[in-house]
Amino acid sequence: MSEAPRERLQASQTERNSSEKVPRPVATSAGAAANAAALSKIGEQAFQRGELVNSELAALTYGALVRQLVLDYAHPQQVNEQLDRIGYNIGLRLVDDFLARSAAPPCRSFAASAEIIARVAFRMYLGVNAKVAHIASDGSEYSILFDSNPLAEFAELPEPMKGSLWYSNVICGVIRGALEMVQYSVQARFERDILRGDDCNEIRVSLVRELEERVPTDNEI
Amino acid sequence: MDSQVVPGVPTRGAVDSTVLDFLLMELVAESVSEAFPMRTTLTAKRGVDVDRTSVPLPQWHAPNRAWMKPESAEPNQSSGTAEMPPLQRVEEAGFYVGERLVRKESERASPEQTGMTELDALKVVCRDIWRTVFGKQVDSLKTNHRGVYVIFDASFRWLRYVHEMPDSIGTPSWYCIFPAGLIRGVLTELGYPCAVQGVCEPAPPSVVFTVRMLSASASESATMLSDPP
Repeated sequence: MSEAPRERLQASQTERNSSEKVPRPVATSAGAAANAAALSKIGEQAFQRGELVNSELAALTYGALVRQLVLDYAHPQQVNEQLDRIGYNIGLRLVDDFLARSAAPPCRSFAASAEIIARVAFRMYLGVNAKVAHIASDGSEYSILFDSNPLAEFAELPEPMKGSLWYSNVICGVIRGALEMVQYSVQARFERDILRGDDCNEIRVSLVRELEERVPTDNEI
Repeated sequence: MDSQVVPGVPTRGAVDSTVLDFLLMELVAESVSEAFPMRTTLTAKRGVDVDRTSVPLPQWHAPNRAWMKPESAEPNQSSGTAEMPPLQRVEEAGFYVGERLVRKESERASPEQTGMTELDALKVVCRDIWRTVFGKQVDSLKTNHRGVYVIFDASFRWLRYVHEMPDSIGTPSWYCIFPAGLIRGVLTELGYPCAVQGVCEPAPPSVVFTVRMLSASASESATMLSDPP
């Protein structure tokens, strides 16, 4: 168990070194694949342990939230921003729940957070499988790809919004908020969305900077 | 009754309950923050933006406001949801969810929904919907047989953590509004328009929903209106 984080870290480093735009040979990614499988298992176990609810209910509730924002704001771009902000608020608090319940190994590097989010967090909360792709050569950017999205289960974008609204943008906010709590300030944005007719959902996460942990100056302890 | 399934077990997919908890909290926070002064100026500013005559709205956006409460569908259509008291928007969101939840289920089940009596509809709420939404059945259902039903749940899912809430996040009854709307949506969709009020009694984890059927009073007022003076 204690070996796992180190292994994973090494795996992600080899991944980082060897990943360019070209697909990596299978042999070098064997370690990463094994690691990913282990993380998927952790995610699945956390999902099973948790209390589950009907995904339709979550989809409808999320739909109600998006609907309200669409009615309130004139421009879909503003709706995206609001969804991101709401997600950020959720992410700040969700990370505690995640660390407490997931039993996932700690993120020792930014690149390592990718597999944890994709394999464990997506599985644990949304019950879907996601994977990491398009890792930048310096490890400061990666994409999370997932096919099914329970939040968008019944959604259909009206034609005028197809080019502007990112329906599930709340997920980007959640990732941003959660990573900020583990000292990574990031940007997260949707690149592709099945609702818009793309072949899969893609969220691009890029590191802005690593935050330093400081004792607050007005600490009275 | 059994053929009119609104099953409680997740049918196709499931998500972690935390997701729903957070979504609900944000839904309440989002609507309530409208009431805060800082946000009001924003709303006012936004009101200029949301000039619904000049902005081309998507088709599903405006024309059919059937989802709105009858009393809010008043002549001043242009003001739309902006004029609504903030918490009513939460209720409306609940209504929207409840209505669609039933619709989704009836798509799968046999379309034999029509013969459902008032009591059957209430049973659907207390048994099936409750299990889907809150993971258990209600603890008791009482009625005066004259269109008023009282639903009691001693450990209401969404109020589990409410006693830990700091005052700033609001009162527990805010978190009864969404489910009250949901119940109203379900019953209305099943053919029984009603008014639902939720209160935390006697203390937070337990909740009482009072359902008042509109059909009796509505037909009364309809006959009164139809009488020529």
